[in-house]
Amino acid sequence: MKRSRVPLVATVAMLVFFYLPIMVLVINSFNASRFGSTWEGWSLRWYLRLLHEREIWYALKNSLIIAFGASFVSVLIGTAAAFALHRYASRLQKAHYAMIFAPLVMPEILMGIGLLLFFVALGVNLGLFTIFLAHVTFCISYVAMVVLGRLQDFDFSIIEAAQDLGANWWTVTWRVLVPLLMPGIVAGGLLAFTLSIDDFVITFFVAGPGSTTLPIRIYSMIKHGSPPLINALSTILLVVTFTAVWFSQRLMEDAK
Amino acid sequence: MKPVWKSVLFLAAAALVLCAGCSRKEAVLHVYTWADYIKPELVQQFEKENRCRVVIDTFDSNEVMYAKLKAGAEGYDIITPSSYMVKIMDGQGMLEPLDHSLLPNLKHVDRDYLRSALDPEMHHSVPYMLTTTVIAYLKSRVPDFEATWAVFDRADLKGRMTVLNDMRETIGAGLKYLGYSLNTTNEKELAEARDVILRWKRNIAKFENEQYKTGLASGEFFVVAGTFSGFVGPQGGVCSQPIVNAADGAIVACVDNFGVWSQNWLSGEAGATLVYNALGPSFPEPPPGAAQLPRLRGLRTRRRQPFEEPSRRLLPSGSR
Amino acid sequence: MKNRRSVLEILVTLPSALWLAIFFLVPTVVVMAIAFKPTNPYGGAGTGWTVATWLSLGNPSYPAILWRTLWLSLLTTAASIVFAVPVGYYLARIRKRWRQFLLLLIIVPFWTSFLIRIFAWKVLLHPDGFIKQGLVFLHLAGDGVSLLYNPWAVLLVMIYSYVPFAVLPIYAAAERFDFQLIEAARDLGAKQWQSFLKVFLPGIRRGLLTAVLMVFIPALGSYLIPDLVGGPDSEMIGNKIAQRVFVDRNLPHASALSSLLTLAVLLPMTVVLFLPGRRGRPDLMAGEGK
Repeated sequence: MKRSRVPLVATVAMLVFFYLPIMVLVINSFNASRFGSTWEGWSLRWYLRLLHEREIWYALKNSLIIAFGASFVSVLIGTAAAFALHRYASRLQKAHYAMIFAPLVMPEILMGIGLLLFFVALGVNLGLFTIFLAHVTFCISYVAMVVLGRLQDFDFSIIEAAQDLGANWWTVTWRVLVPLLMPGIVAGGLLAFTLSIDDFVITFFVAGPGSTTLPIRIYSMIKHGSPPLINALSTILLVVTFTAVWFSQRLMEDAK
Repeated sequence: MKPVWKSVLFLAAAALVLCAGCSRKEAVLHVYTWADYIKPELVQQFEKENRCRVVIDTFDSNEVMYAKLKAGAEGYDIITPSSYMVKIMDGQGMLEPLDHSLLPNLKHVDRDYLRSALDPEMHHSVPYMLTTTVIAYLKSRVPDFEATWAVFDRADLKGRMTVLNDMRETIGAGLKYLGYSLNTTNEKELAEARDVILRWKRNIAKFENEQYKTGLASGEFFVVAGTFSGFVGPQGGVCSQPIVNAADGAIVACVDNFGVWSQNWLSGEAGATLVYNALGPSFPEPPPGAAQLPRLRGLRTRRRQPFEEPSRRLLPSGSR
Repeated sequence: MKNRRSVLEILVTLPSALWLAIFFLVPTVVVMAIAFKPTNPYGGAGTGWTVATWLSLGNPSYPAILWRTLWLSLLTTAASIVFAVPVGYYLARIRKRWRQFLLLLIIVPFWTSFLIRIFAWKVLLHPDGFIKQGLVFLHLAGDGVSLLYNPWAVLLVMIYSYVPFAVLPIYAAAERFDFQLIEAARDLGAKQWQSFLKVFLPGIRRGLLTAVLMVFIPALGSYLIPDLVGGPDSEMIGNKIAQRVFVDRNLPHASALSSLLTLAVLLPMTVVLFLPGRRGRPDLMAGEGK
């Protein structure tokens, strides 16, 4: 049977499409020239200049604080949600599922403006805390979906075996289920962390004085210049992301 | 399983460390200003001398700044809006009155300017910088440039021009092009100006407040409307007449050969007067660098010291 | 026993339900409510209630923007699906080891900073960049033309950003598809494209539906892409909302536009969620880690 070449070609084409802009960025970050259109030799000067940009380090610190906090809280809430969704099949869960699913597809700008108006109506001051609240809100859904996926593939015969051996409900949950589910939970946490670090639109709406995060800083840099600095920063972020994703995938594999 | 627990612990520990770092109590000055307005070296010097931290957030338009503040972004100590915005914000009770006893350097402010300023007594604001909107173009890419607002009607430059993302400036440009007063409230005239801008809209690439600078420098745009403070002074060579006052009120700058392009504008030292004085009477004399600035960029600061000819030429004839 | 289980169920559901109710549902309602308030010229919402804001949506510029938003989102969705289906097919067919690697390659850009990827296109499409120079060389474009700041640039970058959202669900569905059905169809004499259209596509129906949902709806709310690579004639509704909030400080208007967008988004969502079928649950993240 002759196999069509179309799927292979499509896949290769898509990968080239994906990576072309990224490759250009990475290569340009080593370009001594200020503007990417001409090549002026290899240079690390932009990376060195990056080290001195205190605004970026300040923004990075804010981003990390929020990301750690938000992923931690959303992992707790999201895992609980996944348990509920998997274990029970009532009408309550159907509504629950709709509520969890909605933020996944809802355009960010709608969530952003909603939260902004909500905080304004309540008179809450905008700042790191409001960003934190916003990030947890959209991260819960992602964590829940990842953990739910894990639960659905979970081999519950192990649980039954433990119960047959006389373990009670508490032991079963905390000493068998959760540890085996941990890679999924950590993967969910990693996803939440990445989403939080990268979020721009929602953060932009609810940020306040002194709460500039890294994406907001990058947006500002894109708007008023210094493209080579952005290239260098992007390359660093790419390397970090690649490592994180690879690590996360390894975690999922080890679980098997 | 064990490595997984280790990573979880590590994450938790990292979070704690980060939080410990941010609980130190120290004086913080929150500044909300235009991007590229204040020199980083100046900020560092200020921090060292006053033993505090300066946190700078930026905005790219008065409206955005006002909207953010109205929406509940409290906690900014110093902001640098345009003068008309000061009046609006004052009317809304958003500004604190200034205590002149804490600002000894106010005596250096240019009295000539204050006569026509919106806040002549400096109740709520201190003038920082006067600049003008210009049309800047790259002579190397547009050799047949004519100094007039009508350049935005040129279809051959379609997609390579920008105008400011500012309602006052852009409608104002339309009004000036039609020969009307900038301050008109005549509905018919405003409607005509609006139609002019709609016509220009077909030729421009973007309404932009910030990207026009790099855009022009990198050749992305050929003609931009911007504030003069966005450009290093004309470097000579390509343009015989670097600055031209057009008949219809446009001020045009030819800006080829950027040469030394500095991201960190001059305004640093002039800004020093304002920033230093806000927190304490620590500076009896303005820093030495301040006097050099007008020379470099042809801008007028508020100080009474005499400055170069190019900056005088930039002022509208009424206030020379 | 049943009572105890119900209490437990409520306990486990409570954290997420409560949080999302407060920070997701309530804000959505707040937005719809503010759309019924009059505008205050000095910013914010005025006092009292009115329908004037809703009526003003009839202003000529809005329908044009809504139409453009719809168009661009539909085109993006169509292009993404067309791209994603053969890729999902391929991924589901190849060996596990290669599959892992390719999935990783596809996921990594998705995890990279969105802003940076858009910025990368600004660099690529720069009028002095090599793409533009190549086009000029091939006599496909004039020298003064700019590839940026028009609806095509927006469409291109939108497709670029949303294709992964289409690939993952389609791949997940393709992975569960029984390819022997295609073999059977071929044995019965069906041509290649026939078996593809009539056996494969219906077989991954759920995945296709999810993909459409995950591309079309976020695409409708695009804000960054038209902001960074679009021009004045490629504004989408997201930009208008942002402008109303941040520049005009006209919150009621922004709310009215947002409510409209929310309704436009909720409609396809409810249809898909409450479709009859396997508990109505598209398995979105099934592709991860496989």
